[in-house]
Amino acid sequence: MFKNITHFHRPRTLDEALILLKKGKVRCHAGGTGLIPSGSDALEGLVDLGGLDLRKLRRDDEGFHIEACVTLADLASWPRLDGPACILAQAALCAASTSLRNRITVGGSVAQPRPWSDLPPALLALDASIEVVGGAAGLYEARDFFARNPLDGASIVTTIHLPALPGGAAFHKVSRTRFDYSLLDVAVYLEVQDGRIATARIAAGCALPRAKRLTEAEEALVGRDPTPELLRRVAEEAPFDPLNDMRASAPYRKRLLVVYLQRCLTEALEAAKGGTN
Amino acid sequence: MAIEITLTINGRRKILQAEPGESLLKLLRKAGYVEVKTGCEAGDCGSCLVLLDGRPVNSCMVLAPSVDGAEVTTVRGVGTQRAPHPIQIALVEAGGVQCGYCTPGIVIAAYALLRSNPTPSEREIREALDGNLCRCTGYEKIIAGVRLAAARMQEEGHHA
Amino acid sequence: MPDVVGHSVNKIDALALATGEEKFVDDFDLPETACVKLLYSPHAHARIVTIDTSRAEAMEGVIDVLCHRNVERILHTTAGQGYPEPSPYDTVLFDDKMRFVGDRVAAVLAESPEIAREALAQIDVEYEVLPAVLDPERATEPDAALLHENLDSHGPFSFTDGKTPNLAAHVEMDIGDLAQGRAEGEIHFEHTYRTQYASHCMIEPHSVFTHLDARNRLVIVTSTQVPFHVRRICATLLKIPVSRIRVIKPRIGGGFGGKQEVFLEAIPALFTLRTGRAAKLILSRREVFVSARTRHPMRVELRTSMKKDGTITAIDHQVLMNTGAYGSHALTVLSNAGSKVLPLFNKVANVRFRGRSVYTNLPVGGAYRGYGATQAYFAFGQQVDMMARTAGIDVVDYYLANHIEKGETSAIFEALGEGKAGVEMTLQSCGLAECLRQGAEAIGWKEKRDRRICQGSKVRGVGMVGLMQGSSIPRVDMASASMKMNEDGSFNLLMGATDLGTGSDTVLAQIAAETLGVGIEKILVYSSDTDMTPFDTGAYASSTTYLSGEAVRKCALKIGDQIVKVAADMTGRSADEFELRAAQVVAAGKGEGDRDGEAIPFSAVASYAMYRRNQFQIQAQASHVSEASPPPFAAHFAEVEVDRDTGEVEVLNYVSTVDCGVAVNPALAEGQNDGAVVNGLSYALTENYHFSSKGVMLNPSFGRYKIYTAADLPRVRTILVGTYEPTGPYGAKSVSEIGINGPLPAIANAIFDAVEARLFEAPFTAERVLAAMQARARESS
Repeated sequence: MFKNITHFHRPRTLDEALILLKKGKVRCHAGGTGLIPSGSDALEGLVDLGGLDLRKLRRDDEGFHIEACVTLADLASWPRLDGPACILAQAALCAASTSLRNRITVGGSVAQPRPWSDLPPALLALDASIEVVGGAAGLYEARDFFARNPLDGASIVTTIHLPALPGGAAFHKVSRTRFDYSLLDVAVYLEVQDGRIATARIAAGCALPRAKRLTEAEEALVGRDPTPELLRRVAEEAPFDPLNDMRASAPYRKRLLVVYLQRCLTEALEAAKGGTN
Repeated sequence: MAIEITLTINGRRKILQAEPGESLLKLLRKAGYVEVKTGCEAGDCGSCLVLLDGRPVNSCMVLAPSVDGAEVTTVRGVGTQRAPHPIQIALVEAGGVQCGYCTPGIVIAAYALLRSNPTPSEREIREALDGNLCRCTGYEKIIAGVRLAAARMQEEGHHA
Repeated sequence: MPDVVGHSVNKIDALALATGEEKFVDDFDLPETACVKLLYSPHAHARIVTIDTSRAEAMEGVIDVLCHRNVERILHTTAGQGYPEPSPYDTVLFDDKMRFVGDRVAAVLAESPEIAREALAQIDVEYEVLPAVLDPERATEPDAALLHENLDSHGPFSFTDGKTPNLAAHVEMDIGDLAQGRAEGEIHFEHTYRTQYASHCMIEPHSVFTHLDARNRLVIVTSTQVPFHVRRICATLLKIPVSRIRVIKPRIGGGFGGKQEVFLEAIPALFTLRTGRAAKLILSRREVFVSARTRHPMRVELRTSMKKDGTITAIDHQVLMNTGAYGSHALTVLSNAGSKVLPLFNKVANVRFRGRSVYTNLPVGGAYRGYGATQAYFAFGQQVDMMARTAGIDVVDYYLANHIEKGETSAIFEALGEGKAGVEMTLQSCGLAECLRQGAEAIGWKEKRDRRICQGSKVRGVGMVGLMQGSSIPRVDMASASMKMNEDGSFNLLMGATDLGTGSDTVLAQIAAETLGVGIEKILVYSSDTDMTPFDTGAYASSTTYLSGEAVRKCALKIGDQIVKVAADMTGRSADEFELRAAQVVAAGKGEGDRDGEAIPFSAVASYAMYRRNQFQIQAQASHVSEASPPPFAAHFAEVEVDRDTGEVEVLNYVSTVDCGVAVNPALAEGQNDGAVVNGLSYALTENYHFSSKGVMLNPSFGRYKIYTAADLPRVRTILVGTYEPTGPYGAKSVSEIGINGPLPAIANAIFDAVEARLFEAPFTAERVLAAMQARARESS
């Protein structure tokens, strides 16, 4: 029970919600699983997004459009999510248990990215864009969004857009048990043209304070012939400065990256060449 | 400052007073639905599972005011001793009930599974239970119970 | 009429549990029940210089506050053991010295949990922080900070040696001549093994509900394994007679030893006595992790010597046990690290066992399934594997050649007891050989051992371990039961025995039903209520079936005697002409379906005795103390796959075979064993307590302390191997603990089989396994 919360608002439109957020000392509420009981009186109210009907999943020629209050369960079971975008479903399935996936929303996962969030690495690899309304309104590239977290307290994430992609992708989460905070997430997207890597996006998360793209590794791949030797070398040499904590040391996480990046590159390459995912 | 919310719990309409920051778990237990258990209050153990508009959720992680108007099913809504559900009977007969503290949550998870997937594979059963901690049974006989329930329900043409 | 014992009848409370209709402690309520919350120490070691509770007391909705200033210091142990308890009396309800982060400072009684929580924040405490002892391996150094003073001036036993600081208990045992044994050995093995802290993770947190009844007696409804010990210890702490207390155990949500402890009940009880209010104390999951009880971490230094042919000539077993801030079970868990392991190799003539339990400013160890054996088998199981490999003998054959057998004894039985002398015992049942054979076959031992089957970066291995445990504590613990007969031929069975989810209510009802020749539905069980049910020490030491079951059987026999006597009275015949069969009294010695002579239904007998002639209530009681602790035996086999690139270990297959004598209820016995094994699996691979440099426990939640769900596991298979134990009811021994002792050694041995790297420290995280593989690679290069 969060005693400091004295107001629970249920706006019926986005505009109403934004006005409430501007008043301060309130925060958005969707699934509610990210709410941390606060001993301080800083948070007094919640603005529930449940009445805004931000639950649509849409697909068109440009790609996939996932509204913020779509739950991880609905995302993971969306039959129209295919191709490389499947890794987002994979990330959603790993992120939490069956019952929690019925509450955790995509928007919540993105708006309050914790170090252990599983969606951001997949979104980074898929070159997602995040649409925001309110004080920090705009359409943000995932890379930019997760690097600096532009949201102020008076903004709402409304939609996540994924471009339609031709290549192949892979995602891997390393954790001790199925339902566990990750030690490392790796997500890879590759496109191959004329036998060479045309596009490479590599993202790592959970072993870092913020999920991010491994740009040096990407650059080492683009334009090259994707031999196993190259993939191995790129994985080994990828600059990576991971967290050290009670669950795993930094050197070990680095080792995990080397191993799993190589495996994900191999898998993404297969998918890119095969045209299927 | 209490908020009045309306819930349909196990088929009965109830008007309840909830604090803005109160969890659905606490509200339900206060209202007498003590079959919904408290194990961790952090969404980790599944002993507080209920169906919310037909989907299993950790009631300890749901803010009561946010579900005004919803339908809630607890384990007693699935079946009682007077009219037990095949899932409950099967769990009993397979030896899947020891201390019983996790069992209400297990019943909810299994019920939700069999409703959407009446012929689950072994893997699908295990994954449907991925948020239910049990320290007594080692899960073997729980899974056997769900398997047994699925088979019987198919045979009897029973719909969850 | 089928016999009842040996059948997997449904647990009598299972359906009510599955429909949520059974009640646990927190499901009981009275109007205006107040809430208890506890304030904990933020320091690992500190003196309370001042504590001011006045602001909390002045708050609206706060009813009462307790701390060392208004609660009498009565030294006791919280260990749920029989009196006199073989644990140091080193604890008081509220002390002015804090000995671990999570130690208890004060308690508040308030109208609601929210007010109680706020009131805790209004308690002002000034601490003098003291140096903390956070490393058990340094706790006995001369300059180590001292946690407890003047220990031996309290309590019925002495535990210290008069000179070693922070010593909570010690054990010494010698058999034969160790030096000689070493000299006879040709190959020597010397390794140090370390096991970690663990939490029981029973899904229902500790819960207590207290109130006064209409006779002004204190009623304590509590989630406990030891209701009678609760009553006695609370009487001492509250300074009221035992007669003024009633303890009731309703349904409880698991314990595994974590509720074999009396460390909470007196607090809500004291509030109730002081204020007249009903009070409830329900621990949060965080509090259970930090401030309840844990598995004692242990360091085992094991030196063994053998001849080249594999004959073991000497065992030197040295244990250092971290008991945490208080010494609950400090002697007995320590002793069991020897007594439940060493007899397995009873033919070894020269054995030395040395054990020390030391205090540290860390969470408190207590009873936890396995009870010291779990930790010790980690060491023994691996060392035996090493020894067998060195001798060129398959380890399964090695066990077959060396283990204690039926008809044999071990000097250890008498040498090592639990606080008192041990009890000599000659085994009257032992199914280990059959366990070994069946388990090896089930896992595919011959096809998989030493094969190192690879697939990509992954390599497989198999490992095993042989185990024994005990059944009850002989000549120490006592159980009793009473029964009465109703006029419809049903029986009320009242027993102190404590069902914590184990199904003992069902198993004991089966024993009563078998003895009387009735179906189980005729036995109406009521248990664990100190007013209504006769004494039982409680559910621990794998006692309930073996000890309490025998009390039930003896009681039912007496009832049976009374029934035939009434039948004799009814018919003018003599009692020895009759026997009981199928809820009837029939002519003795006649076969089934023999129509000669009359059959008198039980209902007629009861009705006659109650109403007709020479009226009396058919009722009886019986008690039992065991003279032996016949060990269950087990053999565990694990198949793992190790990722050579990352060290990640996946268990592919786990088979445990167990000899529990006759399984009174096979399904319940299997279920017990399955649960113990799965607990052991996560103890081997994922469970651990992490501490800051200041002794703060860093992962007190299921989110950060990982145990397995159904989605994490392979099939875990339990195979019951039957034997017949003549000293147990219908041939039964016990099964509840032994299964948890297998996974640590079996998986460590399987990892070695796969990658030839030894794990000497648990849990076997991927990082540790990788480091072990890398160390091995460096060694051999």
